Formats: sequence, structure tokens, C-alpha cells
Amino acid sequence: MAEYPIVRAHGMMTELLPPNVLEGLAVARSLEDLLTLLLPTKYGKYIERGKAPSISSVKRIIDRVFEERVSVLIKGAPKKVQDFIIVYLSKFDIENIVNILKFKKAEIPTSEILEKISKFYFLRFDVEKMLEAKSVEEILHKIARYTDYKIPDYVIELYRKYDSILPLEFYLKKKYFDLVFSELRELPRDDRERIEKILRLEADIENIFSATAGYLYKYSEEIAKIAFIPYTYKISMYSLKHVLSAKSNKEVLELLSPYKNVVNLILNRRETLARIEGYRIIKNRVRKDIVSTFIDIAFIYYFIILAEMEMRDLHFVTIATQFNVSPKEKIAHLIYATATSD
Amino acid sequence: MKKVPAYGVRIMPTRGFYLEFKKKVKYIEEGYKLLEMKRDELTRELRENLNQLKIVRRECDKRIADVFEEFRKLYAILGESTINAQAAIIPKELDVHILPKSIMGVHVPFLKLKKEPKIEDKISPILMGIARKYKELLKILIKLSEMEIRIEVISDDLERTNRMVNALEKIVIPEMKQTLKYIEDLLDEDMLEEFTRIKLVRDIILERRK
Repeated sequence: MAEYPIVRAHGMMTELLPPNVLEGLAVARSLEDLLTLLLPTKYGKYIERGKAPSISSVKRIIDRVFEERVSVLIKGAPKKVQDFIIVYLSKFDIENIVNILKFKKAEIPTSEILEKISKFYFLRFDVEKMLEAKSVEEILHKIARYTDYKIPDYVIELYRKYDSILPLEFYLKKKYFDLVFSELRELPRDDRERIEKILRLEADIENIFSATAGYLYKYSEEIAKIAFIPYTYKISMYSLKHVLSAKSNKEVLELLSPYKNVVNLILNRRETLARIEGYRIIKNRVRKDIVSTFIDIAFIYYFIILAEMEMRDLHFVTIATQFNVSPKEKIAHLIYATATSD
Repeated sequence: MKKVPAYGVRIMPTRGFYLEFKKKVKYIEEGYKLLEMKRDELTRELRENLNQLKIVRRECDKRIADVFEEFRKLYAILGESTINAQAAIIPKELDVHILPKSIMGVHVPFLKLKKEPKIEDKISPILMGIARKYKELLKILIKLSEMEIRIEVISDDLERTNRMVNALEKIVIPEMKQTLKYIEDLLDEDMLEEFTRIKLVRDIILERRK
């Protein structure tokens, strides 16, 4: 029965930090200030007082709350929903694998890699097993043997040809969407349609970045060909492929017109704001759709997305505070900023 | 005999020495003019380079501020792991050749970027922009260091040339001219003495003939 996780998601939804609180956190001048402001929130119980905070210790606190929220939903959900959530969250696995591949390629020692990767409890891949590998090829072998992410030979050939992890990264992202969509099929139709819209929106945003990077920085044709995730929503694969050979910014904007704001920012080389704008589009869509969802499985998914956005905002505020980014700039880069809420 | 002067030549008041010395003075005066020209050229070159440096440094400072501002935000959005992983795979292939270039005989380094890190087809789409900006910044930094070294070498040589020009202008040439004048006076005195002596001898001979 999915009622329990849905009810819990409703309960936890009230614990998400409202935009004005996040903006208040963005004004913090140090990590100590940030933790003091976080004390009365859900994050407070993980804060150890008297210890000098570091970026990694604050990030760990933020991650633990996200982990806690997600684990409540995973534990209480029926098998099919559970499987979907776990596969959906394997985006963090993909991030880890891509980073491990890059670190291994650069011959970074295993102990250093371990310090740098995410360690959420719900991750499916045995990171330590991957790290035992001595080379990228060996990792690819382990991925094929122990996970659902077997990379086909033509992609491995591209890796060898261009001596680049990028083809593997593109393929893994694409495969991630394949697996998520395959798990999605197991959910009831109404939920499936709602969730699918958001997933396709996520794929669109990823595709925009790949297409515009291909247009601005000219990826090799073979790599550009595998860069796109085929689960598009508002942009067709035809348009995406045409962006690669577009002659002007105007043409790119026309081809990607449903996401004019994001594309404009990318073309003006303001990738950070473009990334945030992409998240905002997803967040705003979720907040719009959530109104019509009350006791549906989709509500769980919506909640996970909003919790993930909150986590991303808090990660951003943590690092930006430590790097002395001005409060104004921090607020401008919040996914949850009040000015952007619908 | 006059004591040894600053330019280290023992003076002999003979006509041969005088002619030789006069040639030397002329030669040194020509050298002085050339050094003066070199000094002026180096000064011009230095001024030009300093003006250029000012522009390049301003541009560089602005770019560094922009790139770092963008990078800090990107780092905060993507996280340490993604950024470090991406940075780690960028091939460390920077190869800069230092070629000598002569400005008025002064060898200044001229940096030529032979090989730069290849980032195409290697960087994730969202990081491609910042990677390009860093690459451009690297080129400006190389240009900046080239100009700084060039200015240092030119100003060192200018200082040396200036010292030489001043020494020639204020000490060596006036002292040599003074010596030349001294030899001239001595030779004139000798000539006058010789003339007087001949005149006396002529008078004695004429007296005897009478």
C-alpha cells in the first residue's frame, strides 16, 4: 500500500524550508552563522555544537536529512514504488561512476577518490568494488558485470578513440533514463503520466546543455550523436540535432524556443544561472502539478524532487558562503528564491 | 709625462700618438652616439611595453575576477567532486617555447605556445564554458609573463646603457678631449721650440757666412 509513504511525504513536505528561510540562510557570512540559522530546522538535530564546521561536515548534515527523508519513503513504499525511487535516485550513482572514471583516468589514488564521492546509503553501486579496479577499462568491465549499466562496445571504442570519458558520461546518462523509464512502466497509469512529464523535462534540460555545448564548442560528430537523451518533452530530437549545425544564436533560440530563458543564458556564457534556471523550470512545474495530486504515488516523486532541490540549494549556500560569494549573488542562484516562485 | 687617466692609456706627447689618440676619441664619440641611440630606442621600447603591460594587466585582472567569480558559483553548484574529477582529466600538455628576440642587441624572451591542453571532446557540457575561459586566461597570463620578463630585461639593459652613456658623456670623452688638448699644446710647444731653435741656428750660420 502506497498510502503510508504518501502521507509521510505530505508530512515531510511541511518541513521543507520555505524560500524566505533559504534566502535568510544565503545571507550567512560564515559556516558557523549558517549552522546557527539551521539549528531550529530539521537539520538542527545533526548539528554538533562546539566543532568548527567545514564544507564537508555541513554537506554531510544536509545529505543526512535528504537521506532520512528518502529512506522513510523507500522503507514504507510498496515494492514497485520502492524500485522506482531507488532507480530514480541512482542519478547520484551515475554522478559517482562518472567521477570515479575521471579520477581513475587521471590516476588519482583510491583513498583520495573515496573522500570525494557521495556516500548516500541508498546508492546501488558498490563504490569500493569499483575503486579496486586499476584502470578505466577494468571499471567498465566491473560496471558490465555488476550493474545494469553495461556500456556497449561502440561507446567504449569512442572512449578509446578520443581518449575521453565524455562518451561514457553521455551514454551512462542516457542509460539512466532508459532504466528510470523502464521502472516507471510498473507504476499506475495516472502516476506514470505525471512523473513522465517531469522526467522528460529533466531530459530536455540535460539535452539543452549538450546541444548548446555542441553548437558553441563543437563536439566531434560521433560524440555529439550520442549526447542526447531520447526521452524529450518540448523539444524534438530533430531540433536538438539541428542545433549542432546551427549558423547563428538566433537559429539556436528558435530551435530551442520552449526554453528560451535557459538557452539565452547559455549563449551569453552564464552557465551557472542557466543550470539554476533549468532546475527552477522543473521545480515550478512540480509545484504546479502537485496541486492536483493528493493521494497519488506521483506525490512521493514530487516530494523527492523538491527535497533534492532544497539539498542542492543548501549545498550551494554552504560552498558559496565558504567562498565569500556575496549574499546578493547567492540569492540570485537559489533554485528556491522567492522571486522565482510561481 | 701625465699620469694615467680613467680610460687607462699611457700618454705620450708624440705626433704619432696624437694622431692615434685622436682616431680613438673619434671612435669613442661614434660609440657614444650609438649608445645614445640605443638608450633612446630602449627607452621608447620600454615605454611602449609598459603601456601595453598596463592594458594587458588590466584585461588580465578583469578576466581573472570574472573567471573566478563564475568558477566559485559553478563550484558551489556542481560540488567539489564533479569539479575535481573534471579538472583531473584535463591533459597536462602545456608546452611553451622561449625564443630569443633581439631589440637593439638586447635578447628578450618571446614566448610561443606550442601545445595547449586539449579540452575539446573531454569536458562535460556545463563546464565547457568555464574551461574555455580558463584556457583564454592561460594565454593572457603567458602574454603577461612574457611582457614582464621583457620589461625586466630591457630595463636592466637600459640601466647599464644609461650608465655607459653617462660615463662617456661626463667623464671619458671630456677627459680624452682634455688629454688631446694637452698633447696638442705640448706638440705646439715642441714645434715652437723647434722653430725657434732652427731660426737661431739659421742666424748663427748666416752670421758665420758673413
